[in-house]
Amino acid sequence: MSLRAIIADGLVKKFGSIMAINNLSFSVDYGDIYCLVGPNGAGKTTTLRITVGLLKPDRGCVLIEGRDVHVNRAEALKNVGYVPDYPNLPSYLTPLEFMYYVSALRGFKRSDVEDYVKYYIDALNLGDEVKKPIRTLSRGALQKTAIAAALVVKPRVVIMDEPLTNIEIDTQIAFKKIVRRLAVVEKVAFLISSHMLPLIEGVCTHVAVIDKGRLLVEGDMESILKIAGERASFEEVYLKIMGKSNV
Amino acid sequence: MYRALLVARIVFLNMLKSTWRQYRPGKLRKKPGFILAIVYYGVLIAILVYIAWSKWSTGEQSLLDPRLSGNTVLEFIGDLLSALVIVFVITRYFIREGFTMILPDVEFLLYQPLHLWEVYTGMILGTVMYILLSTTLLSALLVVYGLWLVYIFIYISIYLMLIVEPLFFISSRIIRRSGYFDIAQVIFLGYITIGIFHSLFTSLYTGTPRISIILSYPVKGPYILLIKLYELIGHICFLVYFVIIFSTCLLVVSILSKRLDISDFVSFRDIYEIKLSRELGSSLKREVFTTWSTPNDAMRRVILEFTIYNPRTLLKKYIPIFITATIAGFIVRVVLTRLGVFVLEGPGGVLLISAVPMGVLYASISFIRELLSNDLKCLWVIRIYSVNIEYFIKLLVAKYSLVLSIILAIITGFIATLSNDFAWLLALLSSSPIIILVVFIAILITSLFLKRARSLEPASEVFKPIVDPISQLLFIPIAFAAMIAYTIVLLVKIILTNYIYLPIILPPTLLLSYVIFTVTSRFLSRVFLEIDVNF
Repeated sequence: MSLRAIIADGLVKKFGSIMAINNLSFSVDYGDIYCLVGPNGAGKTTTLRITVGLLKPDRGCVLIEGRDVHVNRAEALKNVGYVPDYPNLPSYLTPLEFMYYVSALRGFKRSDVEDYVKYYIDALNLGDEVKKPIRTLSRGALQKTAIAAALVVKPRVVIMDEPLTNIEIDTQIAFKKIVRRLAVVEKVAFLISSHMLPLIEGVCTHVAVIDKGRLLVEGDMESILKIAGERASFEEVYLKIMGKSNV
Repeated sequence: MYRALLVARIVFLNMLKSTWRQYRPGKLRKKPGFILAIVYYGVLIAILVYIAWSKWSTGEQSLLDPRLSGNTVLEFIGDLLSALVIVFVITRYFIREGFTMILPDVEFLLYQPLHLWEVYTGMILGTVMYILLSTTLLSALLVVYGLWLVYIFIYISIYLMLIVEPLFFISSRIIRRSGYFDIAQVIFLGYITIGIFHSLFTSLYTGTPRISIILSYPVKGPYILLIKLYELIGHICFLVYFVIIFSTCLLVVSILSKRLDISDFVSFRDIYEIKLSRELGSSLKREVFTTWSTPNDAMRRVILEFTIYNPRTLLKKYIPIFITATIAGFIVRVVLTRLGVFVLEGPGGVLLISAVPMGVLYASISFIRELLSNDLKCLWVIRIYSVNIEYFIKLLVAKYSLVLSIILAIITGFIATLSNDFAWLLALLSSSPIIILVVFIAILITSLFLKRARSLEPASEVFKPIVDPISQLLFIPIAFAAMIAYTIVLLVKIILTNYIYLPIILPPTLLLSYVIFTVTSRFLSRVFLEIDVNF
């Protein structure tokens, strides 16, 4: 594991005349919980989609575990779990079936993942929802399903776009514990985009603030917090970076 | 009244925007819909000019004459449709629970400081304006049989939408609340029964099938009024007719809708969700997906078996329709033609032979696009978790070729029975390479559409696709594929007229199908590997 988990280098992406990502570079190590923060429309979702190969950058490249995700997709993504911003899942499967489905696509046998499936159903409070068709689930249950599916495949790199949207408080707490444990004990690398201060402050080890597709600030949490002075909260730091200290 | 018109404007523009601007703002993204509209209206105008020119040059009666030509077959079909419409509306509002659905994009109007009658009137007017604009597509088909048929269609539609629907809806809600709904049900059931018995009695008495005026008049009445007006005052009758219908609608709705309650309206999305949950409930009475041997096996099972309509359930669902269509074809050919009521070679026969396939194709488009939308929305799952996109594409092409073949089998089965010419089925078999090819083209066009579609919200917009915007994008490619496939079957039928050709053409056809399947799947998998998945 001497390689870095994710390296994004000089990413540029335009949608028509809109510059979504402008020369963005960052890297994530194993065991890091790296959080992308920024206002709406800053380019967080586009960055994550480029990172997992769903969007092709106009310039730049992304290496996951040393492999270019746009050149060697299958190899680069074989240890990746992903949660999109709005999880479009097969409507007619149940969450339980979906977890088994993604495991099957990764080449796991049922016995390989059975314990993980049970664990994440329990840990993320999916309860009886796992046997209902996905199409009938609430937004929160849908999000939990996507998170569980990303984790049951035993990933070494996890990329999540707004994972805690619409999720109840006790599951948020459980989620943070899971992420922390996986990062510390199993050295899983996390790249997360979020607007949620408790997640950013309580879990993330590294933060990158982006706006209009540009990287404004990047670093480990400790150094980032020093930007607004001693004992500053991330809230204060963020407002200072965005030039809105008077809010 | 001003506020009702304002609501109408909002509803109309909302529907219009969701139809023509299927993409996010941006010049390029507006282009396909715009070009399509220009081409469509160009073709429509060309047809109209051609028909007008050919009819005038042969000295036929005025194209603007709205009177029926006295053709008994068309009158019979007209009476039958009128009776069916009135029975449908009664069943909807007085036999079953009838609400008026409110479209998600205008739900907020219910919670604004507006009178309910203003919202309701505005909704009706806005919807009517939009439907009138969009149904020119259907009118274009009718133009072939004469402009007066377009008149019948438009004037009866306006009457139904502005008078019949609101009147029945409001009165059913008022009667339900007053506690006399059971009595109303009995009255309307009695009315339908009397109408049916009167139809049977007059049919037996005259020796030819007839639909009772009791059932057909409530729909046909206003059209007869239009003809009377035409005879009295000439072309100005169209204006008078519109004024009468619109003012009656406003009067009826503004007086009666004051008794409406907000609970009389339900969200379109709620109805859709209830329907879907019911369908899903039954679809889950199946084995659970927990075993697989390889990743490809898992993918095959999920794409082909664990969907709401897999080819097996689709067959189960469509076999009764196929049998019904075949029996209907048989009845029309054997019974009605022997009675002398129906002549297959005449306009009625042509209308029937064209209308049934069009109806089946149109009905199929919505469920195919829902299916395909469901498969494509999960493309990210395949891109992230699977190694084998080519296999996924092969499954998609195979699935939709099969679905399209099942639908075409119903149509050709109906036409074969109707015309007593079973070479139609041969034509279908021989068209399999083209069916695969059009499915490929449809998926390819879809991929180009999806590439341009930027982040789509999970819900919004109008009608069924409101709940599923991707499904809305799929209308054009699916309709295109279905129409092309049907046209190809027609062309093949002209070339191949006998079963004797079957042993000769079947082996090369199957071989060609396989080659096309393999080549197109490989090509599509490359496209789907590169495509931006932004939804």
